[in-house]
Amino acid sequence: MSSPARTDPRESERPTAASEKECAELAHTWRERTGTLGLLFSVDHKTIAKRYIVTAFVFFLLGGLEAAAMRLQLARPEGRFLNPDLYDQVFTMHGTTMMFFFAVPVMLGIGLYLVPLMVGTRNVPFPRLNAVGYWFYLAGGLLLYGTFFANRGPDAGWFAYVPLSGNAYSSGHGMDAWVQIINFTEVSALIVAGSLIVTAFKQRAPGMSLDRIPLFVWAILVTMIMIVFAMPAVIFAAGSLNSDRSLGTHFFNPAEGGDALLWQHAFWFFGHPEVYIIFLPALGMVSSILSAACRRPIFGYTAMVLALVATAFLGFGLWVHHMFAVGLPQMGEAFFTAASMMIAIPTGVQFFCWIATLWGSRPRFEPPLVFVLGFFFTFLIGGLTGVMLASVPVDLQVHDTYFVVAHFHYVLIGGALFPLFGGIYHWFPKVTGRLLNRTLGFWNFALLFVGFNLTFFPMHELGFHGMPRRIYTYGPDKGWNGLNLAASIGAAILGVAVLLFLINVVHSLRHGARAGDDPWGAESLEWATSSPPPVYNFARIPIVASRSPLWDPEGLGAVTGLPTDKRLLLVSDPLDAEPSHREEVPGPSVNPFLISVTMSLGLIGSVFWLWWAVIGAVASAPMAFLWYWTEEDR
Amino acid sequence: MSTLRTLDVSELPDSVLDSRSLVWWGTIVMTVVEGMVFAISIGGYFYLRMLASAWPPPRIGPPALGVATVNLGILLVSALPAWLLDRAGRARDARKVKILLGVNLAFGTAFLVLRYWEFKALHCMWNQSAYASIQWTILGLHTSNLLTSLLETLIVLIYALIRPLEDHHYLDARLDGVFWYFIVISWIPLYVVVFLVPRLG
Repeated sequence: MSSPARTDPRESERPTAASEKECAELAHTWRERTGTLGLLFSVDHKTIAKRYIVTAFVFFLLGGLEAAAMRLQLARPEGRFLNPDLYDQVFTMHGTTMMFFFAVPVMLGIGLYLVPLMVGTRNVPFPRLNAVGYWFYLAGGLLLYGTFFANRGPDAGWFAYVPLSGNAYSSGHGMDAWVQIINFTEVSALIVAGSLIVTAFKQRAPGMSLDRIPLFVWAILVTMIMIVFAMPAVIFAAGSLNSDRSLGTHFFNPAEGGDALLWQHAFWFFGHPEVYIIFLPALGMVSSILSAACRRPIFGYTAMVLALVATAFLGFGLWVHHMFAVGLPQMGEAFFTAASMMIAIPTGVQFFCWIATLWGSRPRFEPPLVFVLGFFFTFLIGGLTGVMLASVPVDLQVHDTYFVVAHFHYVLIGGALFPLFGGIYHWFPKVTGRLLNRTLGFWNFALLFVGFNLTFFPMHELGFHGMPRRIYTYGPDKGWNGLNLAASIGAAILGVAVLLFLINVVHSLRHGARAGDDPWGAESLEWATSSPPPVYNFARIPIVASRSPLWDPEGLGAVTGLPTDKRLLLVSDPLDAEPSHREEVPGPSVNPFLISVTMSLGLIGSVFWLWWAVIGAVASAPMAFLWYWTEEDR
Repeated sequence: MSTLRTLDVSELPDSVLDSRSLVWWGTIVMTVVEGMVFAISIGGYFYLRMLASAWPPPRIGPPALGVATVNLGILLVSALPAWLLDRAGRARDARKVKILLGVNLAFGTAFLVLRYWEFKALHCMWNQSAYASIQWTILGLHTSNLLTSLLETLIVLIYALIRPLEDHHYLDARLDGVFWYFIVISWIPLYVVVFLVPRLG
């Protein structure tokens, strides 16, 4: 491949191209409102997705600053940078931010951007509802940081175990707010899940039967189905904790027949799948990046899909391994140990398929691929310590120590953040029309890799030496000094890596090389449209004849006869993508914003006075009415 | 580049009123989520029951069956107008749709009113014990679905009374019926859990 910036030769003869008049009409039909107020009306999936991604990265920086504060505090024994109370808030904020406000939403955002493009459609099926999802996410984030900056942040850890998170030990509003924050993120995740499940099943381009869906779309589809089944558990958990705190129910009060472990069961029934909700989209990114870099389809498509599905199924049978230390029946422990070890099988299958894809190919060494190689290495370590932790005797030894902290950072950063960065380098040209800088990309990777391993590898050792999680400081005689200092230096390097990434993004937005439609010569449909894609995605809906449509010697086909004067989606059969009808979707509207405001006021207000929940619900009813009334207004 | 395949979709309909439509799929995803919330709550119920020495606590006693059973009957009967509404929507029969939306609303409201006495029939307030808390939660969750459905019915009804109906309104009327089926079907196991299981001792 010569300069990746050259214009794609397919551009002029793109079968999905249409006349200028048609394109102008489509652009007019699908246009968004302009002006500042127009931002409140947006319903285009790409716009909403970009908001998710940018907002998630803002939270990533905030969560990173919290991590930096903790590493500063722990760099030396008897540190005085944070007091114990603030330290509790900081680690709770770090976990809550990274899990609920960065990792999940950024994956949702990337899925929301790419899935409609990859399946060849114009928008998600419920564009206005989709907008509500983002507003809820934003409102939840504002509430979280509002409480934190008022120095009343939640401080019972991101999994908020009772009784610590109950009234007796957390009396302020911090935990009340935390519960509502969780509710906001649930709603937003469920909305994206509903949108993308229907998109993937019902809006695929003609010819894209189930066995031709790109692996990334499979990964997102499986993830969204996991969201549908996992989120209800945290709805139940958060609702119960909320009512225990504010209405005097007794779910978690043993004196009245409640049980503290009920919280742990309900939370982890959600919380463990949550890890896979973060991790599976990353696996999809790895597949997209690898096939583009090696210029060949991923080896073992069917095995890859089955592995994703198997991971999702098994992911719901693991939650108790977070609870080995609470004293469970031995039979139960054995079952969950077996299930936890079994998850290594589908993950292993995928690893071998990726290796087989790389084998004998001459992969193009660009930043996306390098991040994927980093993922192989780091995630493998995280996976292996996972198998260790699945064993009850090992788990009991290192439970609640830094070994566990090391493990899940290897899984989450190694398993999700490395592919995510790779994915950003891979799709940034599609989203912005410009490539990220290659050299900075390699530096970004190198520093991230070194900084990450220097930060977290010593934590395995610290765990073996008995350093517990969540302590705000430690004595100088514990023997933990050197390793902690190393970890803190690593964290500083990590910070520089993230800074380089930001510089790269800001610089490349203006000065990056022009990307063209398909800078990597990749095979899936998002590369068949311009970069950035027009608001209507494709001038003509493509027709595909294989799993790698853009590598198909016959090229893409194109749908004709879809009117351009209405916002029409082509709806197809879920199995073989045979078109069944056309369906009009609503256009820009302020209603999603308005109803998000009334509902958010209810949820946020209820932190301070319960009746706000009722006020919010009552105020939202006329908003729902208005919404329905104006659905015709395109 | 060789032959370009094309597919002309100009003959395809602009709307369908059945399970092929996007909104139908969206409704199904929503009911799956709500159904899962019920399932998890039932899981929580039996978890607490497993730990309890007596279910319900002796000072509370089992709930009364009278109102709840009458109400179950009302709900089961209400599936009939929901089914008729569903059919009227499919037939694009504006007059029937309006009447049946009204009938649905009446049934739902009657059920909601009796729900008040169902809460009373629990013989406890939510803050008396873990048993009371989970009973109130399950009944409350079902009631919140009920309120949502009533609001939806009301909105579609008012719209139908004032403006001419288009295809997607007929589809909404059908889906109103479909969501009502969910309210009816989900209540059967919930009735068993809330009102019958405590009588097992």
